[in-house]
Amino acid sequence: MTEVPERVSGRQTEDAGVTVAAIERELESLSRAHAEVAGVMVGQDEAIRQLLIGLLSGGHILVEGAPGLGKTLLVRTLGTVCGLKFSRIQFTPDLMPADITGTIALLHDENGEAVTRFQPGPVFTQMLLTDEINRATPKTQSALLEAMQEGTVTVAGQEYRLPTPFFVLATQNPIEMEGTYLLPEAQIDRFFFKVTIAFPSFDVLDGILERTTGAQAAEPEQVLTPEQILRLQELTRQVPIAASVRQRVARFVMATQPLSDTAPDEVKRFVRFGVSPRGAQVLVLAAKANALLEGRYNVSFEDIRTVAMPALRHRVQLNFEGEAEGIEVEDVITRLLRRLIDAKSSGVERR
Amino acid sequence: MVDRLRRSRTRFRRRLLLAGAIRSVTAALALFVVLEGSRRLARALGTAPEVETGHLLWLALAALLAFLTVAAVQAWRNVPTLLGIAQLADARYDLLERVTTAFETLQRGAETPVQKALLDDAAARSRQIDPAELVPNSLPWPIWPSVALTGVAMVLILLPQPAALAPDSRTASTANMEGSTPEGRIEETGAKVRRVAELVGRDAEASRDPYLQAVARSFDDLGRRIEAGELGQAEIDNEVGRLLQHLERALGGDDAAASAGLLGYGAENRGDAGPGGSRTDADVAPEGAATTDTEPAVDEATGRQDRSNGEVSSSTAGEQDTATGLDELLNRLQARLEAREPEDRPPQPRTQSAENDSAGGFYTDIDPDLVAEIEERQNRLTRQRAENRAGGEPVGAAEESNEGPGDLAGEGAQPLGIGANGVPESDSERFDPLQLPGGRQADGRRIRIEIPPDAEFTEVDALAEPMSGGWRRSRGGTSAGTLLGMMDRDVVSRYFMPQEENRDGARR
Repeated sequence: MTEVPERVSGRQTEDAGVTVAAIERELESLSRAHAEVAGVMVGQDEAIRQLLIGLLSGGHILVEGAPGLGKTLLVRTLGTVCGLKFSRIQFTPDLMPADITGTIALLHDENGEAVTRFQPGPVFTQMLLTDEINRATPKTQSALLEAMQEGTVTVAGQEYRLPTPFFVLATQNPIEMEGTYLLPEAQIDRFFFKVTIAFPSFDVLDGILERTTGAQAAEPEQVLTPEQILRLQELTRQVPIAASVRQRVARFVMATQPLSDTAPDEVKRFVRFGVSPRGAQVLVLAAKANALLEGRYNVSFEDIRTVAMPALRHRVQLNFEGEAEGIEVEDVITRLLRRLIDAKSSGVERR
Repeated sequence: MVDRLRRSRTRFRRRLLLAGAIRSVTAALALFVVLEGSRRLARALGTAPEVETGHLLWLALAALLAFLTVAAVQAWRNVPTLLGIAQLADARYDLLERVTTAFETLQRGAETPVQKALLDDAAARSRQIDPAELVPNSLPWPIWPSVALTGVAMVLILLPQPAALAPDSRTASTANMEGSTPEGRIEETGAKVRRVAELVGRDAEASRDPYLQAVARSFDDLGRRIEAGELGQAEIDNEVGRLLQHLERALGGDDAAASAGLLGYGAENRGDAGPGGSRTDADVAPEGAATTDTEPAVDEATGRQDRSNGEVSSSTAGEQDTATGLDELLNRLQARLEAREPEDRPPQPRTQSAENDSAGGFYTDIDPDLVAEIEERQNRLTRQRAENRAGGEPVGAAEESNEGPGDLAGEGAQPLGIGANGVPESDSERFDPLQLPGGRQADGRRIRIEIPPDAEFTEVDALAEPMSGGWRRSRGGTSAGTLLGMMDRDVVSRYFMPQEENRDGARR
């Protein structure tokens, strides 16, 4: 029998109450989790790191890659290592919102009387893999996005809280776009990261073949617990960031706005929408998570540089001229990073 | 961590001050070099206002103080904050903003375990921060080229200059090099020049030679001007050299060997005379040659002598040469006077043939007819002078200034002596104020040879050796000396010039 999720009655607060030694232990566990996933997913270190960053930040990740690159395996392995309850939904055009969120069902109780009871959908899990999210209708997509954003599901006027941690990984197939429903900009902005799974190199592919076609496949072990992940999420938000770094991020985000005075000519010419304030929040938060993954307790420019691409590539929209000129969003971001983040000429604060 | 940041900041401030001080000193030195170079260049061009090197040093010192003040203010304003030093440390030691973030966290106060962990981590890593390494004392390289250029310029300024650019010997740098004050040396030189004037005057008195007397007066006047500090070393050298040329002329026909020895100084300094002071005829011409090419050029408008002939090697070398040359000259003049004094007697007119004149002069025998003719000429000349004085007309060749060789003897409108009309009233008026041309300008004093319009040149015997060039002077009396002596006048010299059409002939 399905366990009925708890109804929302108030804000849930949790005190980390940890010491420096405890923090170091948590970071050690995080490092081992990374290694455990990497032991199964060959050659996808960067994608694994980005998934962990999303997990530590409490964000959801849109994974884009061709079929057969191991997206599902990656998410399942991560769920296993983190000890999270895992669900998977294959999105199709006829998928309805109730198929995700659940519905009110007429059931018989122990006495044989008919009663209505909420039958939770697959979204009531800790790690949800939604395959090919762009194949569902916008109505169904919106149902999922509400759950992602609010952490709650509303059925028949009743709001149900999703379990924590709640982590959605939506995949999107860049090919076979016919009959799909592209995610609108407003919805795609709700994804913390957009992770691109690249085709593996020869050596990586050889390693994949060796590990996955033998008699004994590699089985991941659980390293983290959901409670540990929640504590790590709290720690992530505690990581301090220097004012100079924070201000540099703000200048960078401002420079992505085509109407901004500080935007370079390239942005003014080719960019339609720049990075939103939510994008700036994501940038800083992801940088904090990256610092923790590095075993560091502060945000550096290097962290900003590392997380900028997955955090911003789906938040910058090119205009028609940019599309026509064949401009890549990644190139625009890279040049902005080089100009505003890599530059050491920000000057030393003087009296 | 904070202590290291503070120490680094102190070093940073010190480095800014050092860099500012070096820039200030360099700028002040560069200013001095430019001003001193400009002064020397303008002085060489003759357009310089008299500015002492000491004044320029004071100006450079004032500029240095101003520059240092600006540098100190800039150092105080531009010193980074501790946060800025933390940023420097992060960048220098690749600490990934640990120190910066920790410093900010420290200022706000660590509240969370992560912040405390950050402070521990930053404190541990900041031990590698070495203030001396973070803020080295080495200065930015763009400073050094300017420092090197200024240093080279200073060395060039301090080195002895070429004569054309030689500065006033009264500069402090020269004084330091010589170890004595330039004023003292100049005063000593003035005393020696006046001593020379005294000896030459005694010689002139003995020989009753107005030319030599003029030379003596010129030496005496030069000595007074030197003692009064009116002249610089280069001008002293030029003036002494110029007067030595006249002294050579005055003595040349009388004692060639002695004059060659006496004028060794002048010949060396002028660099235009051969060994033993041998000179061309044009060089030794008393008056007319002043307008020839080989005479040291005298700018009649300004009285400035061309330095190319009177130049000295340097101010210091010039002082030494002048002192040595004057000492030697004094010794020789003293010896000359001592040799002359035992036979101290008025010069007697000599009557001898040209063949017996080994000194280069030549004389004619007294002829009674010639005495009568001279008396007649003298009377006529006296009457004409009286008429000219009444009518304001100059005498002699001055009224036909474009004709006759006498015009070559002096182009000026001033006849011998002073006075607009050119006729001296007395011997004292005629000779005392007379000085040699050149030197002081615009006083109009010149030696002029007067030749009556109706003068007939005497044909004399030829010299034993052919003579060429301009005027030659022969000391001693003439056949008319006795007659003139009765008129309280005297013939002290005779001037000869070869006729143009018979330069190589026997007729003179």
